This record gives sequence, C-alpha cells and structure tokens, in this order.
Amino acid sequence: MISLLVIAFGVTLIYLAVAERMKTYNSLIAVQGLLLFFITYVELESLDVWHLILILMETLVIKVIVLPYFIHRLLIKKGGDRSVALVVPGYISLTVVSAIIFFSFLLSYLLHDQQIQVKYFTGAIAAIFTGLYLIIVHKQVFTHMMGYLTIENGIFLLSLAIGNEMPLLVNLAVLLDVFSSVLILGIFIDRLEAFSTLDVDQLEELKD
Amino acid sequence: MTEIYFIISIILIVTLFIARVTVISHALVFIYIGLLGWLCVKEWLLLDQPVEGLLHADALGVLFLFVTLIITFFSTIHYIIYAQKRNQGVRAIAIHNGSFVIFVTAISGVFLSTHIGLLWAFLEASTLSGAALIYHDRDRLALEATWKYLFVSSIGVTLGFAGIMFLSIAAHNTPNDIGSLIAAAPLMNIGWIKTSFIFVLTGFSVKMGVVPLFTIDIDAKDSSPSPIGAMFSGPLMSVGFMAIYRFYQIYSHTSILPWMNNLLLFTGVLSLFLAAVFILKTNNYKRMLAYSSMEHAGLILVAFSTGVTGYLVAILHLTIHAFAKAGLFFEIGQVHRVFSSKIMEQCGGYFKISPIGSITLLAGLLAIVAFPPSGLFMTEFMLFKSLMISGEWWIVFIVMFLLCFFVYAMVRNFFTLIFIDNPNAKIIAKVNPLESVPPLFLIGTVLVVGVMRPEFIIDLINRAILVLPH
Repeated sequence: MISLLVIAFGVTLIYLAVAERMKTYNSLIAVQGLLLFFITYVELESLDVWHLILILMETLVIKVIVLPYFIHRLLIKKGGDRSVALVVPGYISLTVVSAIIFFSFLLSYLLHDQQIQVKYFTGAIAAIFTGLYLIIVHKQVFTHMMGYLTIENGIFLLSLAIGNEMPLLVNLAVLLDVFSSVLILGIFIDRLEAFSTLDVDQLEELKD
Repeated sequence: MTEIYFIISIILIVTLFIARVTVISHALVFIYIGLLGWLCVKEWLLLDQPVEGLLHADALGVLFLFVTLIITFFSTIHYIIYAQKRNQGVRAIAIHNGSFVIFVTAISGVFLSTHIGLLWAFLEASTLSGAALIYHDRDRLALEATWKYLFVSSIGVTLGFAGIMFLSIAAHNTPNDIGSLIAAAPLMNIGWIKTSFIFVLTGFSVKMGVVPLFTIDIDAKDSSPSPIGAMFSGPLMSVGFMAIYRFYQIYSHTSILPWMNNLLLFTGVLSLFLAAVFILKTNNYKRMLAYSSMEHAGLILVAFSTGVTGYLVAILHLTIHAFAKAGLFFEIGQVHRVFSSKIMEQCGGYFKISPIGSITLLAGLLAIVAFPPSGLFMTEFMLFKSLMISGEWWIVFIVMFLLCFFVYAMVRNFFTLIFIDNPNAKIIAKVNPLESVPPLFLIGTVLVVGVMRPEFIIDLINRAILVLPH
C-alpha cells in the first residue's frame, strides 16, 4: 500500500516535469498533498489526537484544499489557465527527472542506514531535487513557486523517512511558517503581475 | 517567564496592525523595546541558572539580544524621521511597525531557542516579516527585491531544514534540543553530519549574507529603508551566524571539526573575494555598505575557522561591526534624503550641506575600514596575529590583499561624497544636525571600544565559547 502511494508520488514528479498548463501544476501539487496525507495516515499507526489534527491540517486542509484553491483563484483573477513557457523541451526534463528518481533510489538503497526508510527517503530526495530542477529551468515566478512547493513536499516526506518526532509546539510553528510563506509568495505573485512581470528576465533592475 | 515576552509581543503586534494613529503606533514600538530590554536583563540574570523549556538564551544569545535591543532602539528613531520626512501614510506606518515588531520578535526567538526545530521556525518567521519591511516603499524596485528575498530566502531556509533532517538521522532518536544533541554528537554518523552541515551552511548563508546565497541580501539592504538596512546588517547577520553556530557547536564534538573549519575558511575567503569584486563595481552607496557587510561576514567566518583563538575574535567582530554598520546605514539614509538619490554620480559636496553628517561618515569610514582606534582594528589585528602564530601565512596574504580593495573603494567613494562638488547633485532636502547624533553615538562606541576593552562583551563571549572544544 505504502509502496503504491510513494510510486504515485514519484509519478506526479514525472508529470510535473512535462506539464504545460498552470492549472496542471496546481492540480499535481494538490494530488501530492493528498498522497502525503494517505502515506502519513497509514504510516503513523499510534497517533494521539493532537498530532492527527496537526497532520490533517498540514496535508488535507492546507496542501490539498487551501493552497490549491488560493492559487486557483489567483489564476482565475489573472485571466484563467495559461501555458507555462518551457525553456527546456519536455522530453529532456522527463529524462532528467527520471534520472533524479533513479539516482535517489540508488542513493537510498546504498546508504543502508537503519534510521531511514528507503521508500520515503527516495521520494523525498527525488522531490527536493525535482523542485530545484523546476526552479532552475523555468523562467516564470509561478513555476518557481510550484518548484518551491515540490521541495516543501519533499521535506515533509523526509521528516517521515526519519520518523523523529518534534514537540507539538515546534510542529505547529513549522506548519504556520510553511503556510504563511506560500500565502505571502502568492500575494507577491499577484503584485508582480500588476507590474506585468511574470517572467524573471524582467526582474533584473537591481544590479551593480 | 519568557513566554510572557512572546504573549505580550503578540498582543502588541495585533494592536500595531489595527492602530491607525501614528503617535500611538510609534509609542507601541517603544513599549515593545522596553519589553525586549526586560527580556535581555532577565536572560542575563538567569545565565548561570539551569532553566527548563525550549526558550532560554545562553551567553551568546544574551549578547546578541543586547545588540538587537540597541540597534532596534536607534532604528525605530530613524524610522520615525524617515516616515515623517517622506509623509508616510498611517497605514504604511502601521504595516511597517507591526512587521518590524514581528521581525525583532522572530530574531530574539532565534537567540532564545534551545531546540533546533524551533530555531528554524523563528528563522523562517524573520524571512516573512523581513519581506514586508523590504516592500515598504511599494515601488517596482522594492517589489523585485522583496520577491527575490522571499523566494531565495525560503529556498535557503528550506535547505537548512533538510540539514536539520539529516542531523536527525545522525542523532537517531535523540531529542532535537541542543544540549541532548551535543551529548549525542560523538556517536553520530560522519557522512550524515557532513551532509547536514553543507545544507545548513548553504541554506543559512542567506541570513548571514555570505556565499552562496548572498545576492538577495545585497538587494534587500539596497531596496529597504535605511533603518531596515541597519537591522539586516546587524541583528539579522547575527541570526545567520547563530544558526550556523548552533550546528557547529554540536558537530565540533566530533571528528569533522577540522573539515568544518576548512569549509568555513573557504566560504569566508570566497565571500571576501566576491565582495571585493562587486564593491569596486558598484555606484550605489547602500549597495557599497551591503558589500562591506559581506566582507565583514567573510572575515568573521575566516576568524571562526581558525579555531580556539578565532572564536572570540569572530564574535567580537560581529558585535562591533553591527554598531558601525548601523551607524553608517542611518547616515547614508540622510544622504539619500538630501540628494533624493543613492547613486554616486548624483551626490557630492556633502560637507557643505551637513558638516556633522560628514564627520559622522568620516568617523564611520575609520571604524568600518578598521583604522585605529576602531574596535574592528583590534579584532582584525587579533585575527592576523592568530593566523600568523598558526603559520597560515598564505591566508594572511590573501585576506590582507582583498582588504586593500575594500579600503580603496570605501575611502574613494566616501571622500567623493563628502569633499568633491558635483554639478549633477541636486539638493532636495535639508537635514537637522541632531539627526546625525544617533549614528555618531553608535560609531563613537566602536571607536571607544578600540581603546577601552569591552569587558562585559568579552566576558559573555568567553562564557559562550566554553562549550566549544579547547
């Protein structure tokens, strides 16, 4: 069951590499959130009520409902779904992300550390590097934010791979930060569009 | 007890965002500063007592809290002048003051955290509130700087979080509080902690303003109001240092200590090199100060990498630099207002306009290029002495060579601003000489510290570095 969910998570990464519409990116990030919820739910057997509520908040409420809805509204406000400018051809991105997943698996397998769970660790490392790859190859602030969210999902999976629980207060603070960072990034995307600079090439007035 | 500080801060923050009377808004910030002062004294008095919980400052935390308190106080005064002279609306002031208090609370949270996860949460909170401060002027440049700062900083801090995760793997099921992690350090897996330190140094470099993620820090200091530039160059740089230091503190009890020192040395020298290249190229006074901060951050890492003798030098340098740079940012803020520009080609003949301001700039120049009696001269002298004693002549040569570029660029640019008349310089506003008193006080402190040994600061640093291997 867990393996299937992690594989599905990997598939969303591959899909992200070739997606061309902004709406598709948004949906994929929401699907990742949903998968993360199921993975956490299955994995963490003995949960106390507070931790369960917190995980529900983080995955289902924030990652699946609030953030995708917020981004969806933003897209509608800015004229609906649009295609993103692919700087690198889709097939190259597909190859790169597949290679990232393959090497993440290889790395996790070779580490042989009792502390980590290979499945999650593979998904986490693959998501972090796919997110970084998306940020590097895309030139629009929207896709940059999607790359950032992918990295965030990777970090979430990494914390599962390690299974070292932090105190509730710390978890709450981390959740609040992640939530507000995405919200504030969204607000600034909105502002940037007011200056019609969705392309990072236009953001180069600050230089020596 | 510390919880009271955070509860009252939250109440003040909410009130600040609601308050629509300028005087009340500023008064609330001063009440907050009083609260911060109480926290500093309380933590200082409790230094030797064991305190339970996630929030308790060690000696280094107390030192940085005091630095933050002083610079926050002067920054608030200068922001009041800034807002008055620019006829800022009450809403803009409310947003600024609210975000400012969140920012300082987050910074103090980093100094107080005894848990690595909580430290991260406060660090991210400082990014988010810092973004609101950079966006203060709401023009295109501010927007560009804010977006870049927010985005790159978030990526950096997220990479730092990955570093925490790798530490958790190495620490197995040890709780993530610093005391337990130090105790568990000798048993940690070397590969994991090396990976963790690389991620932490990369991620938190964004806060300290060193290689690799330094660029957005420069943009932020340039585009934000000068009082905020002072906060970024002082307390926020200490935050970045503290974040890296906490991990160094844990890993220094393992065999990777020499490797970490080499990595810090490499990062420091590379930061010095890049800052030297850019400071010669820039034609913007605020960016020049920002590159100078990067230079000092690089020096701090070089000093820290030298081990036992360098710990004291690095932290002392960081503390003194915070005062000198804050003073310079405040004064350059006045220059910006006088000429309505921070571009070198549009400024000049400042001595005729503001003799006291010019004296402040000259004193600041002496302080920042580490000319005697500057306190920074004392720390740089100690740094070179320790490097020479340990036989690291090639580092001495490289660092001294690079420092020449900073001295040249700073002296050239400041002398041009103060003494050379420029027909392109248009005087837009006049400044009250009294406005130069706070920066002169801060810079004067730096010069006095070079003559009189700052025993209180040195005592705190010595107590802080006791936990590092000797």
